[in-house]
This record gives sequence, structure tokens and C-alpha cells, in this order.
Amino acid sequence: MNANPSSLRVNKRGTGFQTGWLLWLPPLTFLVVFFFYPLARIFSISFGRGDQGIFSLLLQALTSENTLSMLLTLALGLPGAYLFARYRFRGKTLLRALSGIPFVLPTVVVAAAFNALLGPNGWLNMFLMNQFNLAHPPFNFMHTLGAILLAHVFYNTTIVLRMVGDFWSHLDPHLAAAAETLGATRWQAFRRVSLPLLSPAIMAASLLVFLFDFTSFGVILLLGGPRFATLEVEIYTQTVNLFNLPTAASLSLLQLVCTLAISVLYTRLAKRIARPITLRPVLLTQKGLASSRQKLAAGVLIAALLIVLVTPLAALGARSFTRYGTAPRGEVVQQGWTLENYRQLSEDPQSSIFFVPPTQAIRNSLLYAAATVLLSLLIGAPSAWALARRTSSRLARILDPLLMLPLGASAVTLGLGFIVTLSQPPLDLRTSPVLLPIAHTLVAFPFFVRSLVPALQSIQPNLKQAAAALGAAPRQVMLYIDLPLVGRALLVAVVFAFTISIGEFGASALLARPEFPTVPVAIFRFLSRPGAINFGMAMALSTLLMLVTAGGMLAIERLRLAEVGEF
Amino acid sequence: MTERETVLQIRDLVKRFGETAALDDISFEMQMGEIVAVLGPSGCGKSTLLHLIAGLERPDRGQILWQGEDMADVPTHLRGFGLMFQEFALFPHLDVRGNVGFGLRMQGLRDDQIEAGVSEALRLVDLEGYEARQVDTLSGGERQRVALARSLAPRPRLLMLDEPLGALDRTLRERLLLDLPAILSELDQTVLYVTHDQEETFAIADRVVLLNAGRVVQIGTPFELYHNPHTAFAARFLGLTNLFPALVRDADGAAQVETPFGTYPTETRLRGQVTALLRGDRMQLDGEGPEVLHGRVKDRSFRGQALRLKVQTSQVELACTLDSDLDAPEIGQVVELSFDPLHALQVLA
Repeated sequence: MNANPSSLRVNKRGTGFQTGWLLWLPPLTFLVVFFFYPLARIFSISFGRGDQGIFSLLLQALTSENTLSMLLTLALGLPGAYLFARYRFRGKTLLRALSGIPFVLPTVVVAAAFNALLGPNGWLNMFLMNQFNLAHPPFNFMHTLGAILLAHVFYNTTIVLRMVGDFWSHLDPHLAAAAETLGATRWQAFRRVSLPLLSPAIMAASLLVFLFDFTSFGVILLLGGPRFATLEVEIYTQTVNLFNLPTAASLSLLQLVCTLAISVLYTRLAKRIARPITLRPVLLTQKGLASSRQKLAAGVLIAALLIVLVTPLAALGARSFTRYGTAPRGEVVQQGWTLENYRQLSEDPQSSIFFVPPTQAIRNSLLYAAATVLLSLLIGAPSAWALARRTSSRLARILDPLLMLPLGASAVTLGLGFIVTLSQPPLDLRTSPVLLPIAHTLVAFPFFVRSLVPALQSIQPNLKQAAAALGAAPRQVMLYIDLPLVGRALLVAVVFAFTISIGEFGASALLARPEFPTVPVAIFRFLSRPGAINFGMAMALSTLLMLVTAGGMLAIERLRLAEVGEF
Repeated sequence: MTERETVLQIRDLVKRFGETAALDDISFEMQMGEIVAVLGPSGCGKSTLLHLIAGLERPDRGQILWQGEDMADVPTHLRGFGLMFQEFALFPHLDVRGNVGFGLRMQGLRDDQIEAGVSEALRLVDLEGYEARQVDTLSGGERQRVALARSLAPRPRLLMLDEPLGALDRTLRERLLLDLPAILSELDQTVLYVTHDQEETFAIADRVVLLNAGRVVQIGTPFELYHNPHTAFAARFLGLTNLFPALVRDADGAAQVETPFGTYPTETRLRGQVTALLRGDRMQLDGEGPEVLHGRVKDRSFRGQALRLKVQTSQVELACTLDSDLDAPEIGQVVELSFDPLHALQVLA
């Protein structure tokens, strides 16, 4: 941006110091009351007692399955990123959009999708039981390490595809070519030139993958089972099942430190991606698949991506329309296509007090999502506006990373914090219906703000000055200049808030009142209980949720202009 | 130039991108130590030609031979052909030493050998002591010279330069245009030089391959090309603009060319429809030549050494280049342009 310094100075003096503070006030108050206060309580409770075993848990979380799934994600994602970055082929846009869907799916839907494909009632086992007349599912996938790894790869591959792929697609192909003309083999050119240049993007993507693996609460809870208790699952169990708040709190503290450390590292690296490298327009860096060898390799890779990223989605959708019954000899047989699973959503399956009709859960979720959108607009929009005013004041420099902190804290930790702070005076919101929208707003906050800030910053200051010179008051400038120009971005932000709220599970699992479950919580309950009817309804609800979140994601994709590195 | 060994042979090279042929039946040869310029407008396939020779892309047809050996199955890194890219493609994560020494490192040399090679290459381009500089701190001219040093350091048997001066501003270009031939001749380097600029070509090249739309238009020394262009394209590309449709026929045993401004004797072997070029640099204002055209000065522009006039005769508009120390006629003034038709009037296919 070539805003000249003098115009900035005028701007700053024009809006004045007092209004600056006023802008910061609502988001700051919100964060202090609903984010920092709960976290502070967790700190103080956790220091009340120590617990052995925590560190082994932490060590396990940091080393074993998260690292393994990160490596697997890179193994699939990096070749994919190369394909996307350097080649044009038919169906690329579609493949790219499809690969993004798993990432935005709520974790319970991911769990449901893998259940539909590989679970005891899933396609694979059904097929095998039908073929070989078996009484029991032969393939045991649930509660294995493989299940967790596969799910992680499923929804994180797109991070590598996009972050590394986008960066790669703008990297000058002449750099590697120059290395080759200087005597480097293909491999040497990649190792000594392309790889070092890509490494910040690869590192940033890996950290983000790691972060999401680390906080993948729903997936571990539903697919992993008790053998794979991660920090988050442990926090949940300690809180909900054992009501051992001090232990839960110390675990949360550890979790928080870890995620914050990873987030900080990520932010640093994300800045390094913006290193002064001449970026090339994609038009110049991409070419068609020429030789048959290239076509074969690309075909294999695309097939692998489709199998890992798309079959679980298809399995889930198809499974929700399938009826299974038990034949007299005990084997399970497919009884054709049906809408039964959807029809049952409006019925109260077990008339115990903890079960409400799933339609009620849908209504709850929609209400919560609407409230989240409203709260996000009230809190997030002023924050974004305050951040985007390019005043390099010290206040803005300190507040910027502060506002992004919720990205680093997991939803489960947030839920726990709410339980320990907001269930007693001075703030007793435990029974209030606003509790969930508040938590969802915090989870969505970084996404909401990040969608808005670049658009707000792209407004040239001279436009506002022109409007002011034409007699517009600051409020009118906002109404007639800023708002129309950021309309798309605002829509993106709203869709983000809505989609995140609809699918949020970690905080909801802890905070939702039993009689007011959200859709993900309802899916969780159905999946945790045996029986074909429960499974069928879980499939139907998950399919609906998948459609809503995927729709939201595609809308965001269409509305947003491509931006390198902006997450 | 003395006759030297032919090293590079390009035979019937064809490269298509989809339906369009980027290169169509390109053939030429290079001698050891020769500087050949590939000259042509942008988009004529020059860069593609370099990429094919470097092995970065594969031709659809044709051969690239080096000292008789077919390069088809030799991968880029084993060809020993250096290529300096238009935007230099310096490695941003390496310093000047890392960049210039890259090729030597790939040859598996020891660190002290690499260091010696780097300082020798930097000395050649007049950048001694730049080893530890980061490439993003270099000016445009320094980047260009680091890129040149990087290409030269591994001593390629063929050095290819892709618009090496294209990214630089005018003053820098003119300075480097003086330095470059000195550097290249000190090494007795075989060079294939790609440019769209005829000035660069004339300053540097021993021989020129003129390309248009993927085809070879003409091959010759800069002198031959300028003084005897074979086609209207060649003439126009070299800045000769007085081109007119004309007809050559035999009259009384001698050939005559009929142009819009008159009929003149000619020595061409062509017959029928042709293009006539009246060279603006071979006309005088004294009105004493064998032939004279009258016209009114329509425009004039002062170009340092030369003065360019646009003269409107009753039939055509002519551009001519005169010494600027002459008394320049005013705009609107009537002048007499004299020329020798056998010298100034050329017949092109």
C-alpha cells in the first residue's frame, strides 16, 4: 500500500484518541470477562495441586500420534501441493473445493463419516458380512490408532494442499531450472533450492496440522476410545465423568501452554513466508500434464486424494439413506434405500429426560448460531475495524496478537474455564442460554476478525478522505464507503461464525445443558449408544450437518478472493 | 573470423504448445567461441529455443547436437550448458557466494576450490568482495552481474543468455552493453544470446539468427543483416520503414522495379510482386543524385548524431536519416531527396 505518511497522520488526528479507545472497549471487555478471566481461574485452580502422570500424558500427546499423523498428512499433502502448484488439469477446481470440505467438517461429523465407512455398521464391514455370511463385523477399525491417524489426515491434508500449494504455485520455476543448468540433478535442485524456499510454508502448515491434531477432541473421543486419551479427552473425562476440576484444570493449563507455544511459532513462521521472494503469477508457473508418465503419476495421486478425502463423505451420505436389518441367523442384510433415518429425527427415541427429539437439537443449533452471528457482529466487527486502522500505535501492536489468542486455546479448555468461572457469582451464567453463543463467538472470533481485516485494510485512505472532503461525517464515511466495500468480506465473516457455531463440539460438549443439546452433541449421543436406529439417526444428522458446513465453506470460497498465506 | 570447429548444431527443431507451433523447423549452427544472437520480437519463441537447448523442455521433433553428440537423452544437469534467466532467478535463500558457487558445488569441488572459483567469477564481473552479500540487498545491475558470474563460474561449454539486459534501466543497459563483450571475449566463451533489441545484437553478436513467429527469417552477420535484409519483416525489425509494394519485370533485357514513386533499374533476380525498400540512410538532401524525389518536410526529430525527417512526396511518405550537423530543413519546407536506385533501392521477397 502506498499510503503516504502525511495522510496517515491526518487520519489519526481526525479520528482522535478518545474514539480510538471507545472502539477497543467492547471487544476488550468481552475478551477479559469471557476469555482471560476463565483462563486465569484455571491457572489458579491448577496451581492448587499437582498430579503425576500429567507429564507422561503430555509427552505422549506431543510425540506419538500427533507427530505420526502430521507426517502422514505431509506425505499425502506435499505431492498434492506440488500437483496443484505446478500443473493445470481438468477438474482441479472441483478437487480443490472437495479437499476443503473435510477441514470444515465438525469433528463429530468426521467421526460419523469414518463410522459410516469403516465402523462396525459401516460399508466395509456390511459388505464383508454380506459376502461371507458373518455374524460379527470382521474388520475392527474403531478404537485403533489407525482410525485416529486416518481421520487426522482426512481433515488436515487440505491445510498442506493450500498453504504449501499456494506458496509453491507462486514460486518462480526458473529457480529450480537455474539449479539444473548449473549441474544439479532434479533431486538436488529440489533439495537445495525449492525445499529451503518452501520450508517456512511447510513448517507453518505442519505446525497448524499439529495444532489441529492436538485439539481434535471429538475425533479422539469418538474414534480413539479410552486407549487413546489425549489431554483434551482427559480434561473432558475429569470434568464430566469424575468432576475432578483441579486435575482438569492443570491439564488445561498444560494444553494451553502447548497450543500457545505452537501458535506463537506458527505466527512467526507465517511472517517469514512473506519474505522478499519475487512471486510469480500462477499463469507463468503452471503447465499442463505432458508426458504419459506425468499423467499416470497425477492420476494415482488424484485417486489417492479422492479415496482419502472424498470416500468418507460419500459413505456418510449414502449410509444415511440405507436401511439395515438383522436376518434370522444373525447376519446383517441391507434392506434397501430409505428415508426412515430422516423421518425418525422428529421423534423422541427414548422418552428419558436426557433425550429430546433431534429436530429440537437442530432448532437449538440454529438459534445458537444466529446468536453467535449477532454477538460476532457486535464484538468482532469493531475489533476488526480497530485493527485495520493502520495507526501504528503501541496499543494496536499489543492488542493485535491479544485478539488472536483464542485461536490458540482449545474449545474444551474454554468450556472448562466457563464452568469454573461462570457458574458462581459474580457471573452466574451456567444456566443461561447465552453461554454457548458466547463460547462459540470466542471460537469463531479469530476467523471472523481475520476475514474482515484484510478487506478493511485494502480500502485506500484517499477514498475516505475524498468522502470527508465531500462533507461526509466519520459515521457517514463508515456507512457509505467502508460498509459497501467490505460487504463480501463481512458476509464471509458471518458465514464463518455461523458454520463454526453449528459444528462446534468441544465447548458444547461441556456446556450444553442436557435438555438443550446442539446437533453435534446429539450426534455424539447417538453414536455412543448401540442400536441400528441410533446409528441411522446419527448418520442422518451428520449428513445434514455436513451439507450445512460444506455449503458454508463453498460460499466462503466463492466470496473470498484468493490470498496467499492468509488463513 | 577464422573458421573454427562447429560445436552446436540445431536441426529442424519443432516445439508445439497445443495447436500453435512455438518453434517451427529451426536450424542453425554455432562455432566454438562464437557469439550468436537470436533476435526477434517478443513471443517469437526465443526463450523456448533456449529451454529446449538447455534440456528444460523436450522438442516435438528435430535434433540438438553438441560436437556431433545427440543431446536428446542427456538431462539438463549433464549437458554443461549454462543459462542465465531473464529475471536472473538468483536463489533468495543463498548469499552471493552460495549463488555463484552453486554450480561448482554441484561438480563436487572442495570448499577452497569453490571459494577460488567464486572470487575469480566475481572478479570477471567486477564485483570483488561481494561474497557475503545477501542477494536482496543488491541493485539491479549487481544482480545481473551476480547472475552472469553464477552462469560463468562452472565454465559451461555453452553459455545462453536470455534477455540479460531486459530487466535493467536504460543507463545501466548501456554501461553493461560495453562490459559484456569484454567479459565474454576474455573467456573465449561460446555464447547464445537472446534479445529483442537490435542495438544489443549489433554491439555483441558475431552472427545473428533472426526469428519471427517461430521460424528463422535470416541468418548472417549484423552487417549483412542490416545492409541486406532479405524480407520486409527483417527490414522493418531493423528500423527500415520505407517499404512499398512493387512489381519487377524485364524491360529491354534489364530488370526494372515499378514502385508507387517511380520505375527504376534493379539488379535483383526476383520477378513479379515484391516489396521495395528505399533506404532512408542512403538518401541525401543535396538534390544531386541520379534520381530525385521532391517532397515537403512533415516532421523532424533530433536523435543526437542523426536527424530523422518525414517527407511527404506526392505519392508516398518517406522516412530518412541524415547527419545532424547539416542545416536542418524546417517543417513545411520543400526538399529534394536524391538517391542512387542501385544503392538505396532494395528489392525484398
